[in-house]
Amino acid sequence: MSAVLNVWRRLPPKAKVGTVLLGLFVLAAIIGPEVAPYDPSFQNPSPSLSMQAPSAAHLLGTTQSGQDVLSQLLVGIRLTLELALYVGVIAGFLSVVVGVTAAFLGGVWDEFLSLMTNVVLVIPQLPLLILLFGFLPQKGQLPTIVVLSATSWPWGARVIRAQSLTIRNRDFIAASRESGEKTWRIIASEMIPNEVSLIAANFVNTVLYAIGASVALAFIGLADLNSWSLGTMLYWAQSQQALQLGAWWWFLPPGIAVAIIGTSLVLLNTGIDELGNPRLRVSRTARRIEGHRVWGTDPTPVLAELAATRGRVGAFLHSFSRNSLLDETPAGGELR
Amino acid sequence: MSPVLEISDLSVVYRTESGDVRAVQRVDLSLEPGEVVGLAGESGSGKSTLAYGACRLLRPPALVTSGSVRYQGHRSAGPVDIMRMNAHDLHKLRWRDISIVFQSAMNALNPVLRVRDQLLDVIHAHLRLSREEAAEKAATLLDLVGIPRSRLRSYPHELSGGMRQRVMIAMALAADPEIVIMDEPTTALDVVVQRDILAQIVELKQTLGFAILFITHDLSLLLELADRIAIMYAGQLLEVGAAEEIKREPAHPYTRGLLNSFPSLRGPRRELTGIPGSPPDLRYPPPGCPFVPRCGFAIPACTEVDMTLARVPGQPDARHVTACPIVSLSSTEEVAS
Repeated sequence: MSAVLNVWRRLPPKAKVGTVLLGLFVLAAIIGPEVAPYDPSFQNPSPSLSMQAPSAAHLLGTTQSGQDVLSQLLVGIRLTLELALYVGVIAGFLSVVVGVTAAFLGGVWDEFLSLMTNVVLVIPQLPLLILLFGFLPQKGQLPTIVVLSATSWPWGARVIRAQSLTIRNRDFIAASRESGEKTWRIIASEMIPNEVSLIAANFVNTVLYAIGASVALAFIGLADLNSWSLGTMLYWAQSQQALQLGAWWWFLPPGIAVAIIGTSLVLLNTGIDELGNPRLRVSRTARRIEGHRVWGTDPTPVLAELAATRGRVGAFLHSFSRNSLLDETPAGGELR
Repeated sequence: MSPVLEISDLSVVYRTESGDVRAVQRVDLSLEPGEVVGLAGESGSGKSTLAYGACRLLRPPALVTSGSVRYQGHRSAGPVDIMRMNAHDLHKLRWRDISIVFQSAMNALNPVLRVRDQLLDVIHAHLRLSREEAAEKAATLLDLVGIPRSRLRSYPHELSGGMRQRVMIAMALAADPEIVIMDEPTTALDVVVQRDILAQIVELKQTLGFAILFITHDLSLLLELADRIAIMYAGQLLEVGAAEEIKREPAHPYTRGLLNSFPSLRGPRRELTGIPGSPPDLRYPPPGCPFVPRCGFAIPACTEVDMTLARVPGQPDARHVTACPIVSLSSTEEVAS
């Protein structure tokens, strides 16, 4: 527990914001369907309950057919996040395997794997997905995960291959080879720990991409339209003219949810970068010395000077103290 | 003549979560114009912290807790206290007045830029020269350190280690500074190249007239090069004196230990003793003399010594000072006999 707290304390503020935001959505994905006040698919036959603006009974209003938007949102977040997580894990795993193997084995294997990577890389993904979904017998969650995973690993693989190439040629890898370590052990415990921040950042990026792609696919109807996800919510809102009818409570919540998830992932990404690269962190953050923020590029602070120039808050508080009467310049500053 | 740099009562600590590490404690040291002062001590004794702290080059966990560093150059109007300068004034001071030759030339030179561009960077940042003048200046700088001008177009990896170090020295001299701080400039080089470069430094010093603060752990090298030597241990100066004095009559037991740790080039062969033990934890500096646990002459009174530098008794030179009032010259002979 204290280890977790320590990591949390070392996180840059950006990453903290990202973690909290993402945590809220993950929580919604876990408990959302249980706490949803209504069945999201239940179409209320009463015409007075269709297209209602937010009220106490329906916190985010209702749709054209009287469905509760809040319930749809709470149920839909799970499907979208679940899909993105699967894609992130599968594609991340593929890119690590392909990238590290290509770099470590070299020679023909490198040529072959790099060729594969480049071929998949130049395939335009969204058009391919649209085309594939036209032929696939079903349009559910599973085919989306498979297709997105199969097309979104090459970027990561290229980046990780490049990084692995530089690590492979460093002295400590040569040393562990000389000492007779097995290849898989060198890869798993010498090389990959050096790339953790890269792999994590790659994972976060892939998740972000998967959310965007799945929402886009669902929005144009290429998803299982009987299930609820952020994408299908937007599809129904669009197809039933929510915008034209001015039903902002229908299309804004899923849209904002996608935007916030994306933002939180980007914030998290920069945080992971600094966590994995201590040098980045030290040079970019200020240290607090004697109540003053001192940056890495500032001249070495001098205690006497720091005490003489109090921070704005410090000077204000000091002006109340008895000691301020002894100052050479009065507490209110110098009169000129 | 007034000293060009006068460090007085300088203390530098590193603020850590487990308390202040007192890297430099109440150090007084002055540098006359055109003088070579050597700063010697083992790793972690605070040599570099002292020099960089005096220039305010240390990163934030470092904090100057006391002292002043008075700089009086012939170009500047009056003496200035570096500890009271702001970032802007410091930027003007550095390189124009005080420049530094860093430890490893390999890391200090950018591998993807030509030597010429790196010299021009410095010149443009600190001098106001036209394009042609700057190019000419870069060429003359290489002339100074004995590298052919054609090397301006070389990349660092195309130069040998010695040449790279010379380029670093040339760079430090770009703005004709009054003080050059050299932080172990020859450590990574073999002794022959080392000797070449030191000779070069001395020659440049005589023609250009700058003062040098030379940091090294190699006392034998300082005995050849420096006018005065300051011996540093656990963040404090233990002995300061002219190089010949230090060599002939080392007053502090630690200095003697250092002098016995390497063979002299001339003279009879003798047993090398070295100094047993390791330096104290600077978070909890011991009272009195920090060298007590490793000192062969230590007596109980040593833990109450205030580490001020005092004139060595029985020495003609008033500038030869030591922090050890216990071990005088006579007592040494007793122990030795």
